[in-house]
This record gives sequence, structure tokens and C-alpha cells, in this order.
Amino acid sequence: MSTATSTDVPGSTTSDRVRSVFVRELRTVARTRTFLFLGLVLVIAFLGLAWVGGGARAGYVPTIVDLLTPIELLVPIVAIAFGYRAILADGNRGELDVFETYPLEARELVAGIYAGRAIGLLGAVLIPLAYVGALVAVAREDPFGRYASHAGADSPLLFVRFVVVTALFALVVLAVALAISALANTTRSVLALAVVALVAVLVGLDLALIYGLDAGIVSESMLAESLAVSPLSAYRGLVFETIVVTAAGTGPQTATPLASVLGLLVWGVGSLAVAVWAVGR
Amino acid sequence: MNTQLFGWILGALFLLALGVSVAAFAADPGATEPEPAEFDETVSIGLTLEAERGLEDDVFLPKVQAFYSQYEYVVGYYGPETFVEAHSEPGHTDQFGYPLSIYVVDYGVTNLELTEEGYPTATLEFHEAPTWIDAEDAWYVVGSDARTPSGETILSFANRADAEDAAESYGGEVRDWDGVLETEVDRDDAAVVRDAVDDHQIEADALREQAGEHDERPVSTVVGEDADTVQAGIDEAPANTTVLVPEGTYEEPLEIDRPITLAGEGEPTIRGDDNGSVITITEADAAVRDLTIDGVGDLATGAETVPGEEGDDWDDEFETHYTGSDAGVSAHVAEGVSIMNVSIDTPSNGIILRQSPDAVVRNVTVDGNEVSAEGFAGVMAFGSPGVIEDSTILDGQDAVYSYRSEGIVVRGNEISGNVLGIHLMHTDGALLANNEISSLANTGIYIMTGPEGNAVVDNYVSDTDTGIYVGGTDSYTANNVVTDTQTGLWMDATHSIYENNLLAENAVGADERAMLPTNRVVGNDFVDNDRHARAGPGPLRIWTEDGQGNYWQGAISVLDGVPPERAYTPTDTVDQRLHTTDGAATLARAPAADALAGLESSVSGMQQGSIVDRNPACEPTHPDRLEELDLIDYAPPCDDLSHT
Repeated sequence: MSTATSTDVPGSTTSDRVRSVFVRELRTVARTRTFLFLGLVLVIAFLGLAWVGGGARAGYVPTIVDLLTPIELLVPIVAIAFGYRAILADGNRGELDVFETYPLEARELVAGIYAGRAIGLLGAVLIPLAYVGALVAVAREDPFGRYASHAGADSPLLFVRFVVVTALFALVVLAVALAISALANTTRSVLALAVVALVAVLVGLDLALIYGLDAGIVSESMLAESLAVSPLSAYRGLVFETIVVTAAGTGPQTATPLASVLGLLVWGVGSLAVAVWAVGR
Repeated sequence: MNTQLFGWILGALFLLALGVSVAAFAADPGATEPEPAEFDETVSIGLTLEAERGLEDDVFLPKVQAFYSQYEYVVGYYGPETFVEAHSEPGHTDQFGYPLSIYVVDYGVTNLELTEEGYPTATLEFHEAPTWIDAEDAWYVVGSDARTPSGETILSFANRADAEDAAESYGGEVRDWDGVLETEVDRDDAAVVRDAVDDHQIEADALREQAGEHDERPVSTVVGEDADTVQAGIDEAPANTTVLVPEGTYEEPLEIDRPITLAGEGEPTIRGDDNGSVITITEADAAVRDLTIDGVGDLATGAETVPGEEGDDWDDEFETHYTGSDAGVSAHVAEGVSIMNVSIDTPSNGIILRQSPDAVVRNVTVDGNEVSAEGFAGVMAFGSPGVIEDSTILDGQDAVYSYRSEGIVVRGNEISGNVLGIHLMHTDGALLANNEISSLANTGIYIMTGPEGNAVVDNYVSDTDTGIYVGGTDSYTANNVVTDTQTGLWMDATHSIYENNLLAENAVGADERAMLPTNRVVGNDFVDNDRHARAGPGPLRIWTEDGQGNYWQGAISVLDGVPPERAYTPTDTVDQRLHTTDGAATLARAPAADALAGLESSVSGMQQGSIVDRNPACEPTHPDRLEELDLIDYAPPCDDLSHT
């Protein structure tokens, strides 16, 4: 399918080459029914959670609180699904061998694939969230007319923050998926690696933090910053600190947003670097 | 596709997304301070409806309005001291969030004066459009002569000079907001009401003993021997003596305007002429004993005049409408009357007490109108606190109707077949205890019009539409048993304690209707209700205090360990079915359900119409009562292996 896009590479610039890979990836994403299906599943899951949990009738922040834990589980799974075979598939089809004869560099390939898949993933995650936002706007129960009321600290702005933070989180896990895809040699090994990565992301790193705290490896004074080590905790901390606490009031600091963002960026950029290295080896 | 255009579009989209992201975090969601609301539209606390109605037109009480981060309604407090007290309550921030803005009024811009009672006054313009100022920037006068009907209050001013002037005139000292927050506030709350129950019982005992002196009065007149008619006997008898009525039927309505005891020998019948009241008392310390009364007129309500002295209060017309009506015994402006061992058959009212404090009604049977709508009260008390006890009141509209009778005691009565059992309006500080109420068309105990400090204890209510309806504030509802109703406990009151009640076999055990999440609900047993509890509009209510919760049949089991570690949400789709539906116990413990429920409490004030008990009790509080009701099998302790 894609030899056409690869053959017009000679003489082109880096951005042309990245763009052609990107366009090819977009087509792949668009043609893969499974991804559409995943998006639909998320629409149903998010809307269902917001409704069953009662958050949609209560406001934006209660909805975020209802969605947070399920999203911590669902978004990594979907992100891995979007990315874990992206590079391996090229390898299996022999395209990685082909590109050695063309001036397409590993980082260009990874950048193009990542950008293409990212658009697909963001669509699959953010469109359902947009539906949820719309649901809250419509379903939110009007307060008793007899009494003067106000929105309190609840605000669509906080929901936008949630969408942004969730997008960042999804992009980071997608980078991890690409790294796995690049490291694996066979379909079977990529599946195993993906499962290992999921377990590590979903429970392993948080458990490691708890163990570290218990064993004294993680100092209490640095716990808020150390949370950045785990993408899940970094994400959760960001949601707490920039959204929930804004509404709920003060207490011990839940996270350091800067450290959390840095942690997520390190995971994302690091994973992409690994992917580039693995493709180029 | 034109790749150049495509690139531009992508670039633009990327920049837009980046811009939105940055903006979302740069903007402050709490930046817009809400404007002050109309105070009448706030969810207000600190003043009873009765006190509010009794205020002179120019009185303007100090007010605070607070906007909380998690509570969608504006909360209005009468007096900064009420705000301070609310804030010192445990769990306040959990349930309301933090205040986004707080406003107080500026007495500096109106002609502040204090009435005789110490209530602040203000101009008409100020009443219509008070000047609201930021509480943190205001100055306050603490410890002055200023009062609200609830007690000492704090005045607020925009300018320090105005505050100093007021302190000069009315005493007290000037403080800033932080100083006000540190003020010690000592108001009678529900815990005080609880502690006062025993004393209240003792006071009622004393009143009954005092009424017993009416039995000791020597017989001066025997009807038929010393006087031809009963009325003649009453008119002739010296004060503090007894007029004795021998066995027989006496067809004459009576008026007692002397401090005597009218007593039957055997059980004679006094028969009215089916027109007006049969016995009308207009003198303090009159007493009626051992009589059967019938032939009562049929005017249940709607009178236009009253016997005896007339009053001069804001609600005289209302009072006359009811108390001028017909009754078996009707007492007007007569302190310390007592009515004992009397049996009344009436199409309208049994006993009417108007402005007759310290009345004792004891061992009276009122057989009311079987067509409830045509009759009215078994015992009606307007401005007449006293004791109504050990009586049987059947049929008619209200068994006991108390209006503005502060401190009335209604205990040990048997009530059946009426529409409402015990009905309080504008009545503070009542004690309703040990009454047995059954088979009513509407509500067993109905406390309406926002009073404060009522105690409802040890009553047994069954087979009514609503069991106990508690309105107002600072009330204490404990150790009651409510079974076989549509709604066992209707919780309209705020700042109240509901503890150790047993709610069994109701369609809904308890229904929390208070908009403010300020009640303490612990130690109650919920057994065999279709639904244990429900909540109306308002935030998440937390029915746990100091680690103590309630016993909910089905809420927890051996699955949750001992002591159980599982929160119970009676308003949750699955939790509410735990005791009725097979399989619900498994579904309720799904990780997905936990994931949903896990964080909800973090913004409890923003949740809608729900209740959570964070520490459900392992065993019921009242196993003995459950045994009596044959329900003990429905209330296994959580560590009972035979019930998993």
C-alpha cells in the first residue's frame, strides 16, 4: 500500500518525509475499523460512567471525579492499542529494510508515525470527553428555583483543564507503546511486551512508589515530586492539584504540578528516543 | 490533497490546542466573585419562622451570606455569630468546601437603633436594598446590647469609625473579621436539647404533681343536695373547693370562672346541647375530673369570637379561628388548669387550651369525628405549654395540635385513626415522648414551620403515610420506632441529631430533605425497608460521626471483615438493593463500582441528592426491639456466617 509514498522520498526535505509518513499513518488509522470501534467504546464508557456515577447531573468537577479512576485504566489500554504494532507492522512488511536504502531517517519515521497515531488517539479519547462535557452542560440539574444559587467552584474551565491533562497523559502512553513496538521483533513478543508495559504503567510503578516510601527510598519530603516517576500518579496528581483541590479546598499538597508535567514529558520524550534508537539499530 | 494547505491547517490546529491548554491553566476559575443575593432567597439559618413573624417592621437583624466552593445555594446566616458557630462545627468544610465570598451588612449607612429587646432597626430603604460589604474588610461590634430573638448578636460596619460609634452607644468592643471568627459562641444546639430531655421529663412530673393538688380540694358543694344544677354548684362553691357531681346525666353546658375542681362521683355525664363547648373554663387553676362529656357542638374550626379575654398578637385572627370553636372542654387565658380522667365524645374538638400555660391533660379519652375532615383536634394547645399525657385520642383531624406552645410535653399517649398524630406549629422546645401512634391517614408526628429545639424520643409509630416529619433546626430525634409507613422519617430539620431510631418495614426508611448538610445521623437501625434511605436536592450527606455509622440491613457482611471496612451508600443504584436483591452483594464489590465511588466524597458538596455512611455498624442498636417486632432474623450482625 505504501510504496507509493516511500518512492517519492528522494530529494525531499525532512518535513516532507515526516509528512508523508504522517499521512500514511493517518490513512492507516482511518482505515482500521478497530480504532473506530475503540473510540465508540470510549464514548459509551465515558458517558455511562458520567451518568451512572451521577456526576453529569451534579456538575463538571463531580464528573471529573467519577471519570478519573476509570480513565487511568482505560486510556493507557487504548493508547497501547493504538501504538503497539505501529512500527512492528512496518518491520514485518519489510519496510524498515526498504527505508535503509532511502534517505528516511529513524527519527523521521518515528516522528511521522507518532504524529499520525497521536491524531487518531486524541480523536478516540477527546471526542468522547467532549461528549461528556456536552452531557454535563445539558444534564446538569438546575438548582431549586426557590433559592439563590451559584456555580461554586465548578466550572467548564476545570473540565477543559481535565481534557488537556488527559490528552497529555494519552500522548505519553502512546510514546511508550511506540517504544515497545520498535523494540519487539515479532507479533508475539510485541503482545507480551505490551502487556508487561501495561501492568508496569497501571500498577507496577505506583506499587514501586509505595514500596519505596515504606523502605525509605522515597523520602516523605519528596513524595509529591516523586509521584512524577509514575505516569499514572503524575496524571492523577495533576488532576487533583489543578482541578479537584481548586474546588474542594485546602489540605496537604496532593502533587507538584511542575514535577508531574516534567515526569510525563520525560516519559514521552524518553520513550520516543528509545523508539528511534530501536528502529535505527 | 494540497499538502501545503494540509500542513497549515494542522499547524493552526496545533497552535489552537496549545493556546486553549495554556489559557485553561492561566485563567483562575474562582476569579469572578459572586454578587450578593437577595437574603430572602438564601437557604437561611438562625431564626425561626415564629420569631421572624413576631418582629416589628423596622427591625433589621444582622445578616451574613456565604458562597461556598462546593455548595450551590447561597447560605444566609442571621447574625455573624451563627456563621461563626457553623464554621466551628466538625466536617463543615468537608461538606461545604471553602467560602468563595462572604458578605455582611453595613449598619453605618442606616440609622441604627436598638429596640427594647435589643433588636437593631434600619430605614425602609435599607430594608429594601441593604448595603452588602465584604466580610473580611468589615468592622464588628461584639458583646454589645444588640440581640436577635436567639440571643446576643454581632453588628457589622464598613467603617471602623461607625463601629466605634456603635460600641460607644451600645457597649461591646470593635473587632475585625479574624477577631469575630475567634468569638466564643454558645448557642443551644441539638446536643443541648438531648441533654435536657431528662430535666424536661422531671419538670413535667412536677407540673403533674402540682395539678394533683386540685384533687385535694375539700368538697364544698354536692350537686343535687347543695345546688339544683351543676352550674349553680359551680357558682356557689368557694374558691379552692370541689364541686361533686353524683352519678347521672346532666344536660347543661357549663362555664367555670372560679378556681374550683369539678369532679364526678362514679362517672356522671355532662351533656351539651350540640351547640358550642360543653365546659368552658375562663379562670386559672380550675380543674375537671372523672366526667363523661358529650353533646359537643360541631364547629370544628372557623370561629369568629373567643370566650374570655382577647389577645393582641399578630396571629389573633388565626388563633380565634381555631380556639373559638367547639370542644368538650375549652379553657381560655386560664393558667394551671388540669383535666384528668375525662372521657369526651365529640364531632369537633376534644379539649381546647388557649393562652393557658401549665395545663395538665391526663388520662383523657377523646373519641373524635369518624369523618376526619369534619372534626378537628383531640387536644388543641394555643400558647399553652403544659403536659398532655397518658391519654387516648381517636379519630378526627389532629390528635394533638400545638401552636406556639413553647416547651409543651406530649407523652405516653395512644393515638389512632386520626389524620395527623401530634402536630406542632411554631412550637419550640417541645418534648414528644413515649407516644404510641398507629393507623393514621397522614403523619404520626409532624413538626412544621421551622421551630427549634424540639425533642422526639421513644415514640412508636406504625401504619401511617409518613411516620415522623421533623422540621426546623436543632432538634433531637432519638430512640423512636417507625414501621409500616411510606416514609418512616422525613428529615426536614437542619443542625439536628437523629440517633438510635429503628426504621423497619417502611417503603422508605428515612428521607433526608434538608438542603443544608448539617445533621448528625448515627446509630439508627434500618431493617426490612424497601429502600433504607433517600435524599432530596442538596449535596452528599455523610451519616457518620467519629467513626460511628448506622446499621443497615444488607450493607455489609463477612465479605467486608470485622470491623467492616466498606462505606454504604443507600442512594446508590446497587447498594440500595443489597438487602433485597440476590447478586447485588457481588455487583456492589466490583472494582468498577469502587472506582466510581472511591473519589466521590472528595467533592461531597457537589454531589447531588445522595447519602453515604462511611462506617456502617456491624450490629443493630436495638436487637431487643427487633426481637419484639419479630424482625431479628432480618438484622444479622455483619460477622454472622449464616447470612452471607
